[in-house]
Amino acid sequence: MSGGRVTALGLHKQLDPLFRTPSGWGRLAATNHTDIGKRFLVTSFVFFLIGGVLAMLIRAQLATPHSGFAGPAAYNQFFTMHGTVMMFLFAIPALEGLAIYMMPKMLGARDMAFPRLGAYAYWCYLSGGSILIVAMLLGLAPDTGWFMYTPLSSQPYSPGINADVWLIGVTFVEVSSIAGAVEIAVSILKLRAPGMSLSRMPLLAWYLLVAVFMILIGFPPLVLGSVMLEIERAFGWAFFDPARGGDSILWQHLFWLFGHPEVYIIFLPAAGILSTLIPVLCRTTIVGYGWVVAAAISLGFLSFGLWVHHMFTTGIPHMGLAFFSAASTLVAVPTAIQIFAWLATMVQGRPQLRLPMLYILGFFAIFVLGGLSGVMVAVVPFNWQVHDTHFIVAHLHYVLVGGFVFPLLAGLYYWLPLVSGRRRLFRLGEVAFWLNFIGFNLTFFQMHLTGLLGMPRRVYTYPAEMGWTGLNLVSSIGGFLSAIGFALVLVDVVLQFLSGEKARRNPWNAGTLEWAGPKPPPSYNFASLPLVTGRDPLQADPDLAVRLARGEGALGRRRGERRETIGVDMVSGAAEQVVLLPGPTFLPLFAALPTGAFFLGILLKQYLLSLAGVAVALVLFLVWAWNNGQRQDEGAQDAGAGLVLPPHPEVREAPGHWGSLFTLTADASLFGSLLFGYAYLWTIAPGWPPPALLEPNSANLALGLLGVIGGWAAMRRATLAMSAGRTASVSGTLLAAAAGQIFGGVMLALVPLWLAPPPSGHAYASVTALLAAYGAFHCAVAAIMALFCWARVKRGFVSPARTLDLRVTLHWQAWAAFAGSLALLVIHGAPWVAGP
Amino acid sequence: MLGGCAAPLSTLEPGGPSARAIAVLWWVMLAGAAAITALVAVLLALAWRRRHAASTVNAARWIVGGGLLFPLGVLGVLTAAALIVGERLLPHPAPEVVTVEARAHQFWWRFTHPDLGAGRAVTATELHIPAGRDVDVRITSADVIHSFWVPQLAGKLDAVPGFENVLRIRAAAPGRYQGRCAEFCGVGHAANVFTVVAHPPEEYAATLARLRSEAAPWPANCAACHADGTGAPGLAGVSARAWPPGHPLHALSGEALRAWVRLHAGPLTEAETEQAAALLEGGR
Amino acid sequence: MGRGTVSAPAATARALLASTTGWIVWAVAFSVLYGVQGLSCAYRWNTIGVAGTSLAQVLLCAIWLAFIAVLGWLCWRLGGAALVPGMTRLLRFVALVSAIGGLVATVWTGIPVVFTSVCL
Repeated sequence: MSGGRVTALGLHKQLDPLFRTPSGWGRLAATNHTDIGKRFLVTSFVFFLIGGVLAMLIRAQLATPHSGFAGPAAYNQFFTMHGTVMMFLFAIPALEGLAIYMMPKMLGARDMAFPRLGAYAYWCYLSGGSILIVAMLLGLAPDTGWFMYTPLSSQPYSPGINADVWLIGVTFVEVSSIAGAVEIAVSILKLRAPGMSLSRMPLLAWYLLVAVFMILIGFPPLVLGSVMLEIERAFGWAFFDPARGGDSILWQHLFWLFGHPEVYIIFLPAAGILSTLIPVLCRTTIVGYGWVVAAAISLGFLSFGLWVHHMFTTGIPHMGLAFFSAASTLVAVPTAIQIFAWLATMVQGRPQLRLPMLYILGFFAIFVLGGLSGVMVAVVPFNWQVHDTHFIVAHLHYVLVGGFVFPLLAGLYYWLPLVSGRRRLFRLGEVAFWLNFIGFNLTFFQMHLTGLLGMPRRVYTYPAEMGWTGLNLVSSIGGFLSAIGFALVLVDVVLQFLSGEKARRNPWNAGTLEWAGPKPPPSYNFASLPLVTGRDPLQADPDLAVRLARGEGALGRRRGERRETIGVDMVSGAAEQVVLLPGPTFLPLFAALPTGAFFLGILLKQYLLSLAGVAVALVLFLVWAWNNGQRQDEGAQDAGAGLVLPPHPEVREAPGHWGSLFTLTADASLFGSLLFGYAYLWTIAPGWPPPALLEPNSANLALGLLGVIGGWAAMRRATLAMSAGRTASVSGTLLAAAAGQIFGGVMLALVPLWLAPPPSGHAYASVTALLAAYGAFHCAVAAIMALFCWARVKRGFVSPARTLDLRVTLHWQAWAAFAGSLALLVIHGAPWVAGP
Repeated sequence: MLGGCAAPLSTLEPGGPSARAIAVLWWVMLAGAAAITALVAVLLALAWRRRHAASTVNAARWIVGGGLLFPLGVLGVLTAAALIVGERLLPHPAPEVVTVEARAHQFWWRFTHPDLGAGRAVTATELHIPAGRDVDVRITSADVIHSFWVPQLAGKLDAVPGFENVLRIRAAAPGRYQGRCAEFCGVGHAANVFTVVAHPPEEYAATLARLRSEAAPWPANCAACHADGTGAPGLAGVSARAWPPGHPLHALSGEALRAWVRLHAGPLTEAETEQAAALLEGGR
Repeated sequence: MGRGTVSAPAATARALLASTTGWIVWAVAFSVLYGVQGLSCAYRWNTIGVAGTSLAQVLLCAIWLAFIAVLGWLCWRLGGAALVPGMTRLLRFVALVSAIGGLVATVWTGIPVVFTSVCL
């Protein structure tokens, strides 16, 4: 630290300009997590309102039998968009927004791990969502249900652009969600205050960690499915066409492999909110911290074994269904563990009936019912009756509204004093709660009966003699009550931002770090970072906020233009490194534009536009990656509060290392789904064996293996050499690594281009071509990265102490070798195994 | 069965053993759910009891007892019951099973009946089965995924193109049981309905023979598309049909019906329009 | 710094991953059972009679019992010393719950192999 003490105000004046988002056009260059998080949250609430309006249109149509309000074509767009908007454009972005806004504040960090990536994720989200909404306003919204079952969503039965809008728009948003998940995972694991071990980490962070890992594994199957369906629609391939060896059920497997984890991804952060609020509002600590962590992790894994329970009526044999039925009942156990932990906490403590607590009680009332109806539909014979009826509509709204929306509203009211810096003046919130609670139950409670009386989903009207009339009218009335309730919440929130009085510093007497500082939070969160010794740092040290503001923690200084936070050991929380963060830049926005061009080009069948988009995006990503690291070794330096730490480019466990591995995790999930699809089509789909199999070509196989494995071996050699200080040979070896992958990639590309039958002839050829394309794509990525490393070495960004570029590239070279080899072996081996 | 008139697609008014087993399961689960809801409500109320200072709870009793052992016990019983009932409802090989075929289309159903000596009768929108006998419905689709569902008789089973799924149904007594498509299949999904007509077993063969041999005098325009019953619904049995609720023809009569006929069939003479309308109204 | 440790995963990362071993084994067991069930019907192993039942059922039951044994061993090992260095008390608890949970889940979700119809 420099000589002479700096005052809190002085430190603020040094740090604020460094971390603050510029004004004017500069707002488009924001990377600060507080701004990005707020953007995600506000945008997601806008989409929630749009989804709510669509719900009102549905209820208006169903209020009476044979209503003339909307015809089937329009109605099909209403319900498709309602589901799509709520699930993809509201729920996931809201939880990612909460994570991005809150995690650095709760964990004692200055920003997220990859600020530019977060900004890029936001622009992709906004763009993808806009494609869907603009299409809807033009009357071209997708109209085959939010899960888009094939063959209805295939070209022959949905010839319009509507289905493509869904596939492109949703995939664009998924790219955003996956990018956000990578950033959140690394931030939670690495960017915490020194001393904050995993055991001392707030439960919300644990839940978000599990949720984002689920995103990394669970979203890629849908990305794959969407890519397959879009290619089938645009180029006539055969993945889902039973007349050409395809199978429409494959779409369902890929969709629900995503779709079931999706709802637990949505629930877990809400459970994290409850685990945060309940102890605080009951003036005690959570009962069973370890159990809650273990239960959340268990839910994360178990929920991947449920997906076929959405397919119980498709004709899968009973034993297959039974596996999933059993898993679907078992999953209630870790859920119950959490519920009982919360109940125990409330019984142990002294609950206060403040506004967030109303929503928590609402959660209990609604979610428990939803969970019970969920256990009912896990029973296969019962499911055979109520599947695809309004019973399911009732169930899903009970779990999603009870399990996500109500906790989110509780969290909204809890953290609003933090975000706005002001306190509530009017009692509007209580009125809104009752309207929401009563309105919701009036809409959906008797809907269980509506379904039991035989009303299916997705019907635009119904005859009067079915016995559904009165029930539907009550549901529609309830829907309008809810709409008023949510409108009141909006008014209430806006009023709170506009009205005068400042909030108390810690209005709930909470113990977690986000309350240790001025409200609204400054751009840098903490003037200096705390050394954490327990789970509730503010309870242990009520003066913590003042001491941190005065610079008594770590990094209580400004060093030029460097934006610093502490990186820690993932488990123990021991300080390891000073992480250097980028500041505001237009790069994320500029990179999102050609990304959008790529997607729009496919949507509008302007493929040159897509190609141009890819090229420009690639250049921008390389520029982005270039703006990292440093040109000389610095060694460990004083980081304040007694810490001496190296900067992150000189550390093995740098954030970028983990970001790369987590991205690879998502990629591996996609590849695994592709292999599953290949095996599934081969064994289950009708119309096999195909009329023509690929002729196994040992030259192509051998040369391809040589290329990808050789490339990886060269990369490994280069990395080891650089680490060991043998820097002379590195450049040449890097070029060899690139050459190997290019060669391997060409061999893979030759499969669909020359060796295999045409992909539109049979699903075998389609999936073979896709497998080869996957391999070739990764060879190209690995080659480009190796060449990038060559340039980095040339310009001095790499040294024996600074090997991050090489090690990250090695991950991708290894993956290209593994996936490329496996693809080649499967492509050439399968016809050989299948025999003549 | 009389109550079935009030809610013809109700799962809670079973007309056969399969639907009955499921309905019983439902009532038992409802009772269990109500009990668990009451338990949670009591526990929540416990949190608001008056006390003077914070207490400690026995974490193990709450979490292990309430969160682990209690659900495992209840769910174990439920899962076992679920799998046992599920096994019972499957179409296990059995003698004396009557087999029919159902082929789903956008937006109608084509039914092929067994050959009981008079050849295979093909109808649309009405499936004829013998009451009191196990019937296996072999279900497939001609286009997109649909689902065959007769709630009073059994659960539903999807009609998937390229596959054949088999559903076992059994009507306890003769009568008409409403059915419908239960998987969203496009703009006509709401109207994609059908009826299962269960006949006294001794009359079944005669019914099929009559369907097979019936030659109703349809105008040529109608027969052009509908005669073979493959690309469009066939005409066998239409003149005796009661259109199920939800079907486009269910509520049409008089001038509205004639208008529909003119719109649907293209150029017809006045007499042909009358002839078609009379045939379509015949079953009322 | 980076010498000679290029490909060795971090000890703490390994500890984190190891605390979920039980669930990972369950996930593999579940996938294998479902996959073999599908293959059994595709290749008609349910029609090949073995030991009073079908080849499919014998295969599935053997796989199920094998995984139960592996998970049983894992529970027993985790009851003692930590499997992997660097595990904190919390992670050891999570690891134990994962192992027991994985065992219970494998028994629970795999029990259909004993008495449900493979291909009907």
